[in-house]
Amino acid sequence: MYKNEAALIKRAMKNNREAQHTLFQMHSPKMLSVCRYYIKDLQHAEEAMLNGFFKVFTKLKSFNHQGSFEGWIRRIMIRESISMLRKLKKVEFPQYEIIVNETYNNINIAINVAQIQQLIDGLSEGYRIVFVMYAIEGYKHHEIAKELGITEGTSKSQLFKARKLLQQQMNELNKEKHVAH
Amino acid sequence: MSPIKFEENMKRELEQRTIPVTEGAWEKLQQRLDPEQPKKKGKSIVWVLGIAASLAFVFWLTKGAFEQSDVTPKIVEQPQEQETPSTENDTEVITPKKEEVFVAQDIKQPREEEEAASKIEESKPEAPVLNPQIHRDEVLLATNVEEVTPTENMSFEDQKVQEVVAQIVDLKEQNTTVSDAEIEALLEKAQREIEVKNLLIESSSTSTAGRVNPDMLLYEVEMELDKSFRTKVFEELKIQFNSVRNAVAQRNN
Repeated sequence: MYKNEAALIKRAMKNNREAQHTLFQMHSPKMLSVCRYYIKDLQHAEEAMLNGFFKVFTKLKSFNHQGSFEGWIRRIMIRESISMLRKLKKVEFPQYEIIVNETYNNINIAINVAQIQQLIDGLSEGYRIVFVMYAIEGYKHHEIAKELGITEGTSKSQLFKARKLLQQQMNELNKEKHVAH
Repeated sequence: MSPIKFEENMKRELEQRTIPVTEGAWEKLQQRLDPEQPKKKGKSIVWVLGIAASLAFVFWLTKGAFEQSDVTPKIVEQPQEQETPSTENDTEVITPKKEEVFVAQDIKQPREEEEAASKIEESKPEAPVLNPQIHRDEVLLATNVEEVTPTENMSFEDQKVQEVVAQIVDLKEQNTTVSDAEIEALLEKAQREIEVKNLLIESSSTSTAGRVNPDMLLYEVEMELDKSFRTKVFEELKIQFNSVRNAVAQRNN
């Protein structure tokens, strides 16, 4: 697979449409899912995904094979998703920061992907972006701050609020399940 | 612990998810990608054309340089007067380049020619190319000489003008003062050559085309030449031989 992908990437660099189509087919379903983390509307998410692939194929020569190709594409998709949200004027970050003393309840319920996505969609765009970047994508706060143009303190406070809200929602889900049973 | 575990669960579940793209998504992307290629092709075509134009220009320059170098001055071994540029077997015409100095000869008097030749040989024994030997009993004939200058289309008089100018320049380049007398001698010589040429034209018939009538030439010489002028001619011959020799030496260097 790796050898095939490397050969495809090499051909795609030379603007071979077939190679680019194959790479698109290989990675687009996953990348659409990534964009969907950030953007509630699927149509906008797909638009962000196509923007991302446009940049992938036009800037393919900048891929220096350090790290996986999927990881490189994924970072482009995240940036395009944030750009899309900014374009839709839905991203706002507060100017103030909250001092966070995080305490967590032990919540462990089985929820499916659709419910997870529903929980994440319940967050505001600012909370959602920081939470997804930190908890799902594995970014550090200073990386999130640099990417979004905010301070590390803002990133931490946004994460704190996102987690707090998610906990509340999880508690409600847990209660509903117990009631159902 | 819980948020971490909770978030880990979320991460694991979301990582496994894929969402199929809508039909036509690739076509949309392809349409955006396709306009990018002609620009690059256009850019590459521009580069190719630019390189081709540069190569053509360089080739043209080198070709011009080669052509100029091919037109080398040829110094005729037998000094001869300028004749018509026609190319018959027995007629030769010298059309020297700028560096050359045309050597006029009075060949009717072999003894004096020998003296002139010996003078030349004595003064400049290292003459590299020019053969100063003057054959005895040789009458000045118009013989064929390849035209070596790129001035083939110029009239004979214009060529002579150029030669005179070239001779004067050569004299100046040799750091010799060019006196009015010398210039006058060059001019007279050139004028005589023109007259000889005219003689050729006037006397030409199908059988003698390009040839000089020696009787007529002798008559002309006898009419125009006096002793003092003869001396001037020999002096001029000496000077011009030196000029030619130096020009050849410079060229070879």
